[in-house]
Parts: sequence; structure tokens; C-alpha cells
Amino acid sequence: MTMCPVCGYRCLPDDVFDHGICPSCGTEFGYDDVTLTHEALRLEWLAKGGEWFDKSITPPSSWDPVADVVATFYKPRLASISRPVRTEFRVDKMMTDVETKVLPVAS
Amino acid sequence: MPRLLLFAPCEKIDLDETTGLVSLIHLVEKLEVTLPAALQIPPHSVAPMHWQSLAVWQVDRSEFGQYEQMANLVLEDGTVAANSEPKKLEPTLPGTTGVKIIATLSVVPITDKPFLLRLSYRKIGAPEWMPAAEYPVEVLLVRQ
Repeated sequence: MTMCPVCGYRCLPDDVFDHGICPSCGTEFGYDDVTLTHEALRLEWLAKGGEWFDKSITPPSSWDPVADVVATFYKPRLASISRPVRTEFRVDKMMTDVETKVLPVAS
Repeated sequence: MPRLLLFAPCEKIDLDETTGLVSLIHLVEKLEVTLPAALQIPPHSVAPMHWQSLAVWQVDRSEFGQYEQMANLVLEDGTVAANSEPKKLEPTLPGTTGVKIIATLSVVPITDKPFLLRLSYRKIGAPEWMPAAEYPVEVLLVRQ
């Protein structure tokens, strides 16, 4: 199985790029993608409504053209809005440091 | 009343199943998305992404199991994009009063506005949820 480089559908047969057709976006590989880039085909497909192409196959229940395209090709990423500031606790001078106050064990 | 000690969303929360210790990996502060200018995103769209939130509570022994929490992902217009299921605030280790709840989210909103992760709690059976914390997440949506 391989993924459609146009719509992100993940269940294409491995030989689809030899003039196979994606059931999700309807791209015919070796034909549609000769004159247009995969991204151009993707945007064109979504602009026309992003409909499931092959009506003889039921789309997966989780299939969502926009969400799948965004997650596959334009992955949201986490970022920071600040750099941490470091500080240290100072031990109050009234506290006893046990390291230095413990008496050595008699041998 | 339960006392919230910490509420933080992270990319991943690592749980040591043996000791119960948790590690927070990549605290969530901001979401960046770069999209082609021609790509139209319908309102209230979400995209799959795995992230988690951690809530740490301290609960009096007399109130074990009497409260529950829920987390919501809330868009700027007030729309709730996702909910975690209610979870009872009760200790999972004997003799302790601490409660840690990890909620897993499977989506992020695709929006150009900031959104919130809201933690609420209530006494079980009470009609209203009470706010415990709100964690804002900034968004940078770049069009190119």
C-alpha cells in the first residue's frame, strides 16, 4: 500500500503510479500529474469541494479531505513563546546542613 | 474541595508504569501551521495530531471519588472542539491523596485564532461544571 501524494489517501496499491487512479481525489497518475504538480492538483481538488472520487468504493469512516491534507502535507507543529528563565533556591542560613554536622561513626 | 496543583498540555507525557512518575515532554505554548494561500479551510476544521494534558490534584481523604474532572478544547468563539470524558478524582495508590489524570487529544484546531484548553470539575451528580484552569495556546497560521 502507498499514499496518494495529492490527497494523502493511504490505501493505494503500490502500482498506482503506473496510470492508476486514486479513488479519493481521482488523480490519474502519469496523466493528470504530467502537466500539474501534486500540490496544484491537491488545491484544485479541494477548491472543487474535495469530494470522494470513486463512488463504487465507500470512503473510510474517518476520511476527511481537509483534515487529512493538512495533517499529511502541512503538519501543524508546536512552538515556544518564551525561553525559560533559570533561578535557584537559596538555602536559609538558619537551616542545618546535615552533610557537615553528622558526626563520623566511631570505628 | 479538590485542589488543582498543575494543569499542563504537552506533546507527550511519559509515564513510568512501575513508579507512577510522569515526565512532561514539550510543553505546548504555540501552534504553527503553514498553508498554501489557495487552500480554503472551512470554519471549525481540525487536523489529526496527538498531544496530551496532565492534571495533578490533591483531594481530601473525605472526598475521594466524590468529584470528577473534564477537559475541553475551546475555540476563540466559544465552540468546544473536543472533550475528554469525565474522570473521577480518586487516588490510584493506597495511602495517598494525589491524583494525576492524563487526557489524550487526537486533534488540533486549524484556526488563526488562539484557543484554550479548559479544565473543569464538579461534584459527581452536580449539574454545573466549575472552572479549574484555562491554558491558552497561541496560533501562528502562515499563508504562503
